[in-house]
Amino acid sequence: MTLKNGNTRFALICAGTAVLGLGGFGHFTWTDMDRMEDLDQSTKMLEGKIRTADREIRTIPGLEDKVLILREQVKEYVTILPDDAEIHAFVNQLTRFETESGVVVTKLDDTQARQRRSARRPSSSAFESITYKLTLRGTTQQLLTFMDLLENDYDRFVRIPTFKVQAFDDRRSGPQVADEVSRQHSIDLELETYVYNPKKRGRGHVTIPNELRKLERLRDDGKLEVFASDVALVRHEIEASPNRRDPFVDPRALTSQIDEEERRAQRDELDDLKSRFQVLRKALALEEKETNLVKRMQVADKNNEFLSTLAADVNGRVDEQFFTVLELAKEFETVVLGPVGQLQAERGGIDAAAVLSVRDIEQRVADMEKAARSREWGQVITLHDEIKQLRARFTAPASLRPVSARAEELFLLASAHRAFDALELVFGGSVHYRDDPGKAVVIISGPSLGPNSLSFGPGEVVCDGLSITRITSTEVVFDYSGYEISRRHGTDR
Amino acid sequence: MQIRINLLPPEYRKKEMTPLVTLLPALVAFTLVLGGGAFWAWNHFGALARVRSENEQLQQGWATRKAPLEYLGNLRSEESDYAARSKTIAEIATSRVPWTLKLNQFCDLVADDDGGDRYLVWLSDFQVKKPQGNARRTKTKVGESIAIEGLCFSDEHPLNRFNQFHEALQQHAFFADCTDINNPAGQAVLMEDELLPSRAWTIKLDMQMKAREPKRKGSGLQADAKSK
Repeated sequence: MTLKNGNTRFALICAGTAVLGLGGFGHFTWTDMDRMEDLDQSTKMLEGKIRTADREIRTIPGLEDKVLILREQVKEYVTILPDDAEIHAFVNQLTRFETESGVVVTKLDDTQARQRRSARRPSSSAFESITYKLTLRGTTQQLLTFMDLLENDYDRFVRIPTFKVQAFDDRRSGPQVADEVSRQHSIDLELETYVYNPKKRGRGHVTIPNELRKLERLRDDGKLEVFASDVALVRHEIEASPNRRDPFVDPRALTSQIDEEERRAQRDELDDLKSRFQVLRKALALEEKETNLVKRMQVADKNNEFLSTLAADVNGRVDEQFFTVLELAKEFETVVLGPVGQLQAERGGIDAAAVLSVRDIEQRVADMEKAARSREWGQVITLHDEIKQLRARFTAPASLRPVSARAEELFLLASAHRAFDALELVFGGSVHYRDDPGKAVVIISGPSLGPNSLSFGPGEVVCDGLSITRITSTEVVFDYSGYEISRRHGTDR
Repeated sequence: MQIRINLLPPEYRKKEMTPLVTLLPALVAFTLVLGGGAFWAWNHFGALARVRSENEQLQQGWATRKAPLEYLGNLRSEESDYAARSKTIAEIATSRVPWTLKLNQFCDLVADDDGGDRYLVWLSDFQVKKPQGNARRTKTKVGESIAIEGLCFSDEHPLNRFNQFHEALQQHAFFADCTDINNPAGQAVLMEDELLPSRAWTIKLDMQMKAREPKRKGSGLQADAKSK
């Protein structure tokens, strides 16, 4: 009985302990499994994030290159915009343009530019627009010149967003205003430009490691070539038309003021200029045909002097605005002014002597080619020396470079041949295998080879700078300082 | 039936084994508890520790990537900023109307009147205004507007001459950059001076220029990229 009771208690204790133990371990295990599940999920998430981050981080080198290229590009592009110093000096530029064009600036409002200068805080935007408002007086031609200086002469970006031209009112001034020059119109215009702020408020450049080396690499790869034409300012060259009537001037006032006598005088003057120009044309035609060098130079000088005098007279008429009759003014522009200007431009760049020397050089190079074909190497060298003397007389134009280069080539070839001949090589005999030209042999003697004759095969060096390229049944082909020279050996196989 | 009585004092008696009925369950329970403990220990100090350590490693790995990611974000921001600047400069450069050329063309047009036989024009006003209208809401962008006033002289047919001028204007290179012009209108006037011709037709023309298209699409000055 006791045993049973003891056993029962023992059993109960064991059971209780087992339940507690299993329950406790089960709970802890369950907690741990729960924790493991959370950690697993966290691990998966982290792995995903890390994979994505790695993928993005791999794009950093490419993005760095892109940013560097963009920085250089923008740096190049913004050269069309004025910097701070240029903005401050812009008013001085306007004064210069005013003087050069002949307009009169009666009012200048640069309030915005001054406000910008005095502003303490830097701007929050990269580009700031600055506007100047001007009021001018001037003729239409003067206005065009002023605009031309702004748009085409000034190398920074300036645009005219608005302008207004109000014609000179004859009725206000009355008949006292006699000529078109005094008829100055009233002009209001705005000028707008932009200033670039590379570092805006709160933002600076990202520091890229080894930036200089990367820039160097990009430059070597040609990736920093900025096509500036993308943002090149479009400029238009306008031709001056001094005799064109001003559209803001009453055309009736111009024609009615010209009487018959004045019209006749203008016609006579125009005819005189035309005939002088015709004479000059004929003289130029004769100059082309002259073969004697000295005489040609004399005729060219004379023609140039004639052209200068004619051009001075023509320009004088332009300055005086001599031709007030419209049709005569147009004819003067088309038949005299334009062609004379063109002729002056063609002949004004280089003097007569230079023009003639170019032709002589070209002739001599042609003679050098002929002499080279006939293997007259001495003649080639002589012609080259003559060319050198001719070139010493003037600065060679760019068009002469290919011809000069060819002359040099021929001279070097002739020099090589002459140097080869100076070796005085003599062929003693040769053996040639039809099926195996590589085994051919030629016997050569000469002062540079010593007292004995020596045998050589293809590819062997004969002396300094001279080697044999191949040996045929009739000739030996040498390589002398890069030039191929062949000589008949005249020996039996 | 035999009755066995053990007369030995208890201390001399043979010890009795714990009954199997009691022993086996106890052993099983003990084994189960030990097994549970072992499993827990393996799970806690083995698997959980491993998973924890893996997780910590990944956390460290993630921490090391934060700086490059921030650098990448800054680079992207700078890239879009500079791309926007580049686009803006291109827009600025193409926004300019070459007024020297346009005004010169217009002067050529007016002067090309065949000595007054085609038309004889005197301008009193030439005004260029900035593009009007809210360009952001409308799909079509507009350019500058040009307003011209003046007189077209002719003693015989001033309206006809004005019409010829209107036609010549539309065919001229000057008009190539314009989209439209108002139709010929106006009235005949008699000049009060002694100059000839004494009759004229009033000129009042309004033209609209084409908007200049930048190379890439955009509206206004978007110099600064918005942050993502």
